[in-house]
Amino acid sequence: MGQSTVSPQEAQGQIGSAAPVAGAVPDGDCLLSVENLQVEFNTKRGHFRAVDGVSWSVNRGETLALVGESGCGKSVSALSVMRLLPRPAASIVGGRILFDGCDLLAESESGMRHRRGRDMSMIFQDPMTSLNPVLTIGDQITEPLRNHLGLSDQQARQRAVELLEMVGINEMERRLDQYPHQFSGGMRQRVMIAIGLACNPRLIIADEPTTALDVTIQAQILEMMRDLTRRLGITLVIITHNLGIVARYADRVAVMYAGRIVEQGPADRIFRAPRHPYTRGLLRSVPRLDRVRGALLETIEGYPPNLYEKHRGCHFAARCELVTDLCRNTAPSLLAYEGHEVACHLSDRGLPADSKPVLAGGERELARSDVLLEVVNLNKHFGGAGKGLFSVATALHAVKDVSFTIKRGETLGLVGESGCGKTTVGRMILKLESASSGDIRFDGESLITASAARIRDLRQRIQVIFQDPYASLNPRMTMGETLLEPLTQCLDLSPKAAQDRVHELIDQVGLLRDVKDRYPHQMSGGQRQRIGIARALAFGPDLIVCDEPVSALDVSIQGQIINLLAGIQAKLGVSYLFIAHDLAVVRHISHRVIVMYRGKVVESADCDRLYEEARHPYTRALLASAPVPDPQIERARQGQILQGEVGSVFSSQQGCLFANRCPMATTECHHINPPLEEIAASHFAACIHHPAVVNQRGSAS
Amino acid sequence: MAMLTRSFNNALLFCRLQPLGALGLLIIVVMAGCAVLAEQVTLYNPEAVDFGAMLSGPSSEHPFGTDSFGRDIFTRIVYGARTALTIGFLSSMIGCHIGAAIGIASAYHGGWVDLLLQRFIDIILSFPIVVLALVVVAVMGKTMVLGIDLNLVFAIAIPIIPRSCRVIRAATLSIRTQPYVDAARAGGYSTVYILLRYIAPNVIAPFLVLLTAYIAQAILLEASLSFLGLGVTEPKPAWGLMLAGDSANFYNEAPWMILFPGLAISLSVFAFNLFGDSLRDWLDPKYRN
Amino acid sequence: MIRYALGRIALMIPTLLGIALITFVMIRIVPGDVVELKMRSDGGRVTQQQINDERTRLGLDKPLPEQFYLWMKGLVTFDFGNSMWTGRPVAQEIGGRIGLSIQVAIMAALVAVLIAVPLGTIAALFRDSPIDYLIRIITIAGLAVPSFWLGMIIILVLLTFFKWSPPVTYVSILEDPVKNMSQLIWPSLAVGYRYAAVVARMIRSSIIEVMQEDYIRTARAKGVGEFMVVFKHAMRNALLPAITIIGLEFAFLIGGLVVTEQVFNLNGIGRLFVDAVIRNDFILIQTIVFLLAIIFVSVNLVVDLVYGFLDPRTRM
Repeated sequence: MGQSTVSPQEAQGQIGSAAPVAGAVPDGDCLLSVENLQVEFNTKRGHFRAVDGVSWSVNRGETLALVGESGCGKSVSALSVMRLLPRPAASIVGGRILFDGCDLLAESESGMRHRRGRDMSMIFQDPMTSLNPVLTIGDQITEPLRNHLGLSDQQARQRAVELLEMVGINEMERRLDQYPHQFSGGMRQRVMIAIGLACNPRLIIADEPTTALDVTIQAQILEMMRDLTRRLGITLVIITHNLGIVARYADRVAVMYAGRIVEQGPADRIFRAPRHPYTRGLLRSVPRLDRVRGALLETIEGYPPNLYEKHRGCHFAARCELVTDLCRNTAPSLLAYEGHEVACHLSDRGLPADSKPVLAGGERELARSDVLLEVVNLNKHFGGAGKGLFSVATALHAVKDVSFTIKRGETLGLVGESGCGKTTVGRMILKLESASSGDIRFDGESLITASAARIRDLRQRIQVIFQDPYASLNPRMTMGETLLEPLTQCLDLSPKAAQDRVHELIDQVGLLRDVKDRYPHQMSGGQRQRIGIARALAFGPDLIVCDEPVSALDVSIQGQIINLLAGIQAKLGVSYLFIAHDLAVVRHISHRVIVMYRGKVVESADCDRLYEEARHPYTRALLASAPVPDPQIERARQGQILQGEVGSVFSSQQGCLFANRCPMATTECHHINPPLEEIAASHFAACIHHPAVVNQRGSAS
Repeated sequence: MAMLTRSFNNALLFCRLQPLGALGLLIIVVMAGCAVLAEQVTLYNPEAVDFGAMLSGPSSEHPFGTDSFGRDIFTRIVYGARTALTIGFLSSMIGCHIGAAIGIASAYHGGWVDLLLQRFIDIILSFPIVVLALVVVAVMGKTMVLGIDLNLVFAIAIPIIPRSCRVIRAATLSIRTQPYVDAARAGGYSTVYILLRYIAPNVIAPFLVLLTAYIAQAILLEASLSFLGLGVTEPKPAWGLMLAGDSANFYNEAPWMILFPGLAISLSVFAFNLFGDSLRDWLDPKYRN
Repeated sequence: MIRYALGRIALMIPTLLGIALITFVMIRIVPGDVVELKMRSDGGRVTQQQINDERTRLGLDKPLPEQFYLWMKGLVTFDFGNSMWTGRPVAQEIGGRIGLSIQVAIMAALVAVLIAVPLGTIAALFRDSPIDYLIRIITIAGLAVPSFWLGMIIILVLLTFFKWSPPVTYVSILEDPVKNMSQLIWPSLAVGYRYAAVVARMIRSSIIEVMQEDYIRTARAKGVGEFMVVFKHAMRNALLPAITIIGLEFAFLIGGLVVTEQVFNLNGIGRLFVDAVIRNDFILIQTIVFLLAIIFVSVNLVVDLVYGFLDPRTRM
């Protein structure tokens, strides 16, 4: 990009980002500073600027969090530091990246190669794909040691053993000769960290390091990373969308939106007094574990801008409540205020007091009436028939004696980590999977014994919303066709009536009627999920199985969908089985919550009671593992992390399935299979030590 | 009308993004045109023997020369295109359709039916294409309908069936587990409806690619069989046949007898492969964005 | 690994039985009867008595299960019966010719893989450059050019430009390696071109795919040089799917050989098979078909075992 042809808006960007360069790095202790970085992508669809004049910096020994939703440019700016952008699609068209005073963008490729893995390392999101499947772990850890430090095989191996010990992997010698497929996801991420630490780098960039992991494993990994980087004096840049992680681990925060920094500064200040409307909206739209749930979440309405189109002005303008003409026409500069920097025209005036009243309190009234769905001792085995002559038959017992009921108009939250069987329960209720034993009674009628014809009728009354909104829509059908199908196929509506109903459904889920003619790939994730909801509603169901309906969506969109679901329930009285791994989301929408672990129900209670008086050690560990978006609470909280990992579901283990990880486990626990007992009114837990759990809690507080 | 403009725009975009595929398509269209209008584009009767013009080299009268019977090679190649495209298209259509039907049914049914069927398919796949086709030719003999040897068409189609079945089965299996199919099942639609409305439209892409690829295979196979004297027989014009028999006796005297028919086979197979390749990239959403 | 190998070998038994059964059924589907078809097509007058005698001689008057049992028994004891044309034992007919065909097949496969791996790698690494386009055109052409025609062109070129044609009489490689090679290298090239093209295309797309994997990015983030990224981190992963193709494409190689042997006047098993088809020698046909299928299955077994050895995920 030639300097001579700077468009007004680029000039704006440059001025905007010029401010922090002077202001933000007062002390000479800055290790890395990204200055006015501009990255462009050229794709077949056109070209767009993924990072548009971004500046951030991090001091030695500090932890910086780059926060933002998908596509905001946070990963791209980090990959730029490593100079690992995908080529030839992406190119850096402007700016400087100073690492210890040296401009990395001016560095030769071989110079960069010597820095990567030695001066700076990077840890990626998906540990399942980030390790080479055909090389041993030992080879992959020792590679940078041999390359950069010139260690002999013997020395490198010795160092690798140390590194594995540091990241908490036992039996180091034996593990070094194993391959990635012999490690669990959490273990692989530990190996990735060991690789990152190998040459004692000064900087580690971790790109969503725990997003692909379960919440208890996430806590283990993050605590370990924090301890190690502190001990070794390593500077850490964490890229994340999870504000809880930011609150717990970051010293400073940079918030990005649509390719630009909107706000940056010390974590405390940003969380306590956000100055940018986007930051504030984001903080308020997160469902929170530490607050009483409100009737509705606050949301940021609308969707992020399409960067393929040129936007004058502030990228957030279209979604901002406080927008002015100035915002629409001129991009705001990043200016320093009281110790942190904000890119908002209104920031000098300060954000006005909350424009909306806090939507607090208000227990959603549930007419506690008749039971709609009753699940009794449900079991599911997978496999069992050996394949081939020499394989041993192994059956996976995915769901073990699960029982619960859902009333009309009620939301039952079903929580657990991946592989706990929660999705399988949902699929059995939908008859997408057959139950191995047990009964499912819907409105008094057994789905197990019902005739095929009867099932077809009942199916319309039990509908589903899936996790991946794109995959859940037929790519070859327009939205109109998708919504019309149930009306004409199952409900026999006249064409005219069906058309009207389609419009009604589209209105109901808050979309514009012109989406009718669009195909799934022409819409955003949030819009697709709204269509998914509309399709479920088209059948006029009594029960909707929501299988992780918001976990693929960005925080600001999540809130919209949750509110939509709650609104629909209030209006139509439909029941939900809400399956999720995110405890905060479940808390927000559910009346009752069930916690599953390795196929069994370990605890169930009314929503508020469960979050306040959890009795099962696993539930308590889950609650303790998920950080909340408040630095003060997180600083004060001791890390209560659950050791170990979920065991193999194939192993038939005696006693309590949680015993091997439970902090309270006694020898008894390994022998006695704890029954699910009612320990208080409609509060059930499966733990022989549940009274002790209360005591422990009492003494702790 | 809107449909027309859209398909036209799509075609333009295809040409821009897949220039090699567009080239392949162009060759196919020209060849098909020649095959249909053979009488109009040629001057001679393909079967007319002219001993006066035996083994004459390329000239203005006989652009590709003549063979040992004095027949015009260009004419025979143009008529040969008719033979090759007809048999290639018919066999590929028959083979791919039967294979696809079995593949979809097998995948959707699952269980032991699928298991048995796939074992059977595996075994059939152990027979090399040419070998299987030759056995079919040997046991079935000839059945002429409208100048086409139907048994030859079947001999070529039969080896295609298991191969098409495999590809379509795999595609069906991956679509079957998509959430949108689950959503349809949860809607209580009938199996047949789901197969037609959800599975079939989404396996159309791999199917089209397969169909094009196997037209190329079938043309090649027909040429091989005819070359061995077990496919199309004299005096009908066919490319493989033109390379067979005594053409090999005239390496020195009349190399054009070998050159041009072989070029015709290669060019047509090349065109279908080129087009098929680009079609695959074009229909794959992964490549498109 | 050993368990994996044993499992694979055990799985071959039902496959072989299936192949035998299908071969047997195919030959007996003949409209009418093998003997009738053969004797009628040989021309001349044939009496019903002669046909019946021939049937009895070949055991075709026995019930089908018994015929199948006898055939299977013959297969196990290498007694395949006698050719209906020459009257000589089938084992003898095949034994005398199979060596040549196997040599050509192995040479073709070797040449192909040796050419294909570097070609595919170069095309992938210089993706969308002129050299990639050139290699792609060469490989697509490899799928298009029929091997028998390529053989004819090779002969034509040798004759026209070198005034030389390959020898027509087969000499074992042990006897006279030079003469043996000067005869057999040409059909190997003709048949191997397609094989090389298929493998090269597979390697190209496989490397392109692997180079976009996360673990390649990890390697780069460790500061591994581009050369090692390709040859240590990408290559082994990319070769795995290519190895499978090498096995599956072997069927095409055999098919190509059947036709191409005619062009070079090679007295191999392909030629024997075509002659058998032309003469309706069904005893010979069924034995050769069975044999070729077994060769294909065995090659794929070896390929599977190699794959299993190279991929740590199946090695356990």
